[in-house]
Amino acid sequence: MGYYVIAHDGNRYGPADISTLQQWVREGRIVANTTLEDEFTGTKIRASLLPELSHLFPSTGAPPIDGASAPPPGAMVGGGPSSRATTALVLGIVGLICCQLLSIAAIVIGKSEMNDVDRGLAPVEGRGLAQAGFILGIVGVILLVLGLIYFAVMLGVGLNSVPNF
Amino acid sequence: MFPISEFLRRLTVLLAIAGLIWGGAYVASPLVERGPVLCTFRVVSGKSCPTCGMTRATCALARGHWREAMRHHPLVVPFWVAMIALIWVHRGATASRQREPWRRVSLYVFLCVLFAATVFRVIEWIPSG
Repeated sequence: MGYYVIAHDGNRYGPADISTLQQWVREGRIVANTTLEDEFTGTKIRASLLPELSHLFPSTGAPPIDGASAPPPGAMVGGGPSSRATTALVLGIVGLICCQLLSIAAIVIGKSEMNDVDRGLAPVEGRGLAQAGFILGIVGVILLVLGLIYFAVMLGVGLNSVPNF
Repeated sequence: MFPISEFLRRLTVLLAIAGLIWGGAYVASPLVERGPVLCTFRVVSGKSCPTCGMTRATCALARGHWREAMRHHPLVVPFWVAMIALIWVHRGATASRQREPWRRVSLYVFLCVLFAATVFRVIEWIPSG
């Protein structure tokens, strides 16, 4: 069985057999986060999750993979959520309760982080935070638009004073 | 930095978002001047939050009223420059070794602007005299 090595620039190298891959790990050409692709099935997996290579990397704190709780193949596991995912959530919350303009930033950062997690380029633990920030951002923008529409309607029917909300 | 097709795609997305924001701000400009307070922090505490006035400043800016925009929020220009940079670097991009520093820098710059706005407001909260 052989694996293609997916480089950061998207190029594929190989296929290489296990002994060659082990040699590349020792030479530092393959790191723990490097994505490998099965030459027959096309399944992608992170190098550190491959049993034949895992012992060659320092421990990353990756949890055991079992059934439904297993992350997608190639996912970056361990280390906690990225600061970008946390930032998306914070901006989403602040955008919702204070300045809805910050919701735009929450949407942009949250979506970007979700894409990175799905491609195995960011810790999978941050996906929930990024998604929450993304959704809160959308809610914030919708609230801003609805607020302006509400006020426009109130002005249209001749009310001069509009209650705060 | 980017392939030309990627550059044009990003530019199109950025211009579309910027146009949407500018158009929305232009149309909403007469409304927000007399509009309700949407900021929960201000409603509850009676004090302006770090970004209070940014919507009104943006609307004034959309109509070309620079002085009025500065009066509502002096950091409106840095805020939108940082926001546009953030959208430009993050929108549709996936992480790579080349782009990662730019993504990080754009995020830090945006957060620095928010921090500066916070400092500005805290100074305002301090009673004079």
